[in-house]
Amino acid sequence: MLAVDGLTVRYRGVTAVSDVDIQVADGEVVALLGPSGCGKSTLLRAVAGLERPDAGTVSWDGRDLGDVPVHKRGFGLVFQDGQLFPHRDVRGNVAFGLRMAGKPLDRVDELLSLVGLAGYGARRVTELSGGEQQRVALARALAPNPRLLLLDEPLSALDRALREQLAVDLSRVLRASGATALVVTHDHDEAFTLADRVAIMSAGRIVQVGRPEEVWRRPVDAETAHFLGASLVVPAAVADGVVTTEFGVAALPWAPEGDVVLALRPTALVVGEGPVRGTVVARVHRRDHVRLSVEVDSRTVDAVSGVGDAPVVGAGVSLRLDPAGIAVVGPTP
Amino acid sequence: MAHGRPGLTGALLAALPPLGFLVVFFLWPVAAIIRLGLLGDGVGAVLASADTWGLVGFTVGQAAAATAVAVVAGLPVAFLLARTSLRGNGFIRAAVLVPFVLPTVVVGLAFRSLLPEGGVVAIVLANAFFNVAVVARSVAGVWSHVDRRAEDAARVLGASRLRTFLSVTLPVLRPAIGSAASVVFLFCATSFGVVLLLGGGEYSTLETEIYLRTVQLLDLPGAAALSLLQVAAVFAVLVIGAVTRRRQAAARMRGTAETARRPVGGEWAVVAVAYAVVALLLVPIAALVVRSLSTVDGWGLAGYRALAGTGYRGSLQVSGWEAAENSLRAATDATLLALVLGVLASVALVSLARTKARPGLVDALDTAFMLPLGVSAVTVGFGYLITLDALPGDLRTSATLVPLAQALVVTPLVIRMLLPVLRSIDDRLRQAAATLGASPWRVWREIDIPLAGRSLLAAAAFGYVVALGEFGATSFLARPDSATLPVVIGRLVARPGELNNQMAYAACTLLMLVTIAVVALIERLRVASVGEF
Repeated sequence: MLAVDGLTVRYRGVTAVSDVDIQVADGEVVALLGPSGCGKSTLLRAVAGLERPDAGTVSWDGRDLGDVPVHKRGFGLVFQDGQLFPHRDVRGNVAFGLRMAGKPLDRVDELLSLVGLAGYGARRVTELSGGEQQRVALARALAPNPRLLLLDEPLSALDRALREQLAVDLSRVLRASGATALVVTHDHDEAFTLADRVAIMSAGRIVQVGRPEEVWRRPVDAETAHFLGASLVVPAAVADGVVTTEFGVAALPWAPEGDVVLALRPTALVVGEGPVRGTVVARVHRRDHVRLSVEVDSRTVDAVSGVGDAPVVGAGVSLRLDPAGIAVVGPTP
Repeated sequence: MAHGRPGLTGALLAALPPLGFLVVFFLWPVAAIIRLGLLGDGVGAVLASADTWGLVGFTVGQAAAATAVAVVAGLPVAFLLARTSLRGNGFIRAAVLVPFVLPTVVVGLAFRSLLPEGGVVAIVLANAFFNVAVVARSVAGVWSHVDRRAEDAARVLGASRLRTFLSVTLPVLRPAIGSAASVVFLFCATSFGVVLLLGGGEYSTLETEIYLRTVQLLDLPGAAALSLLQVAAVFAVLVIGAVTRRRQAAARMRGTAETARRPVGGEWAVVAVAYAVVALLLVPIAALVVRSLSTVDGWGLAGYRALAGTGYRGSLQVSGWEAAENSLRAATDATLLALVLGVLASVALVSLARTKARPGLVDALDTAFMLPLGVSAVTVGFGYLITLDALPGDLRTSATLVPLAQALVVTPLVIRMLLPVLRSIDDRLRQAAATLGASPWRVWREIDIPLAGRSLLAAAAFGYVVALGEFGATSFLARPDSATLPVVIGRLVARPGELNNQMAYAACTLLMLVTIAVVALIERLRVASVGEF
């Protein structure tokens, strides 16, 4: 198991990673989620041995890796843009780690089928599409059976449809190979698809670690809630699993009793029968819903409606609360 | 060594041999000349002399004129190579490169066969002839990556083709043209063989004057003072070139394929001019071959047969074939040495840039390795004569001095060809290899060497022809019995006798054939560019 203790990395005076602790258990997939520039890639590179920590340790099964060079750590790394070796074909790329380890190369075909590229062995890597390149990069990293797989924004360079498809595939491959993995991403859908646990990073620190639904429902502070898409913060009271707010009531059986602070995602406010009325000031069509900006008591809130019955700009609407879009802000006890 | 500063120690260790070589075989001799120049009362006298300033004036004037000719002739060819997708562009690329790698004596002699009177026009044309390739290829390199859509935008906004070129394209190319022109100016100002062969007794530049004062007048302090003047001027030009090069990175770059197309309308006129330039470049080459085959009794191979002997009434101490053998041996040694030093230096520079070492250190080292390219070979050769006595093993009179001096000239070329390729390899490619279990040494073997292999081969070939044709330093250092082919050619044309002339032209033709063969090889390797000058 990977243990990172008190890790700090500075770049020319700027602290990129600050006193970070995190563990990844065997067979577990942990996502490092945070906005760009929060230090998550630097943390990943420090784990790989590509950056020297200014303080703290990276250890595997209790053994400090401080003196173990990159090539002896046995960690696989997948970059955002593949970084396939241009002078080798697909097979040569996948076989690279096996050759370095002096292992037989018969696993190559098996790995290519695992990532859905059976029969691609003789292709030149420059002829592959972006998605295919990422699959080869994944197969290449998995081939030598790394004890830990590090993925640095593995899907970010792909377009959206491909990204969603590949996220599902990647999740399947990670489970099938029983890999222990640390994934860096700024996309929470990606993090929640892939990870057993999610670590939220902000300004060089890990502010929250938890299971995806836990982090989704109980962001540790307003900033984290905002990063996870819940921008409207409102006070509320919970009694007997029912939350009461200025926008009405909703059933939240998992919420703590008493006074709480809620963070609402746009999907928390839906056009329908409710106590709050407002005026639509803008609307944008999304794939399966319509996003509205609604002016309520001289402030503007985000809300959603169905595509079929979307109100026009200027229309008066009433809003109801949908429990699926509600997060409770604050540390979990 | 695990991390943080990967290979800082290794990088510095790799830098040691090339740096040591640079210090012993370049900085020390040049410093000795500067000292000799400053110590004697030579400097004052030389600087006060009107002759000196006439010399400087002629050196600068002919170099400026030749640079102007090279730029004017090179730009249409650059357009042809960068912006058109015509059949035969591969041949044009190779054809313009041939003059650049021809030995200076060969060019000098080719122009002498065309313009037997010699003189200023011949000197300027010959120097320009050499350097059309520098302008054409380096400007084309930038031009082919310049986004064509800016020009399209200007055309849509109503600018004529000419107006578009002047107000959109030219400003983007100006740094590349400036940089190429400063290099050409440097080459022309320090050109030795051409001026020596075409100037007769009448015209000389700083470079030839240094040679004459040392070898014929034995006026060492005077020569040293002139060298000092030249080093200062060269340094100034290098700094100007470095400044223009620094500004060059700003142009927006695109892939090549999108910018080349069939010429349209007035562009054909430019293409025609480019073809005319290339045709003119082939004239001296053809004249040389013709001259080598024409004897007083009509066509014949007398010159080639004479290579077996030592010239008219024994003008030489070696036969032509012995000189050719000397040339091949010295150039081989020089190339091998330059490859080792150049690879080490490039590896050191690339590895240093990857560590957290200060960028200033990398730049300073890079500039230091380039210095020999700027300082004239004659100065270096002269410097060897006054310093290397101090080294053990009687190096000054040894035949190993020639390859050492040639390696000094060739090493910067190897670095300039290898370094851009090594730098263009994404560092994460190496990191990917490392995480897959490749040790630092294995990363070099698996990633850097395969990816830079063609460039290394091209650098070896290019370095080999440059060493083969090196004249300035070699003519100082080669002893009569270890004379190389260029030195022998220089000696033959200085002696009377039609047989000597015949033999010189034949030797030149042979050198040229070797050069053309090597250029063809370089072009076959399809390396992106011959260095980033």
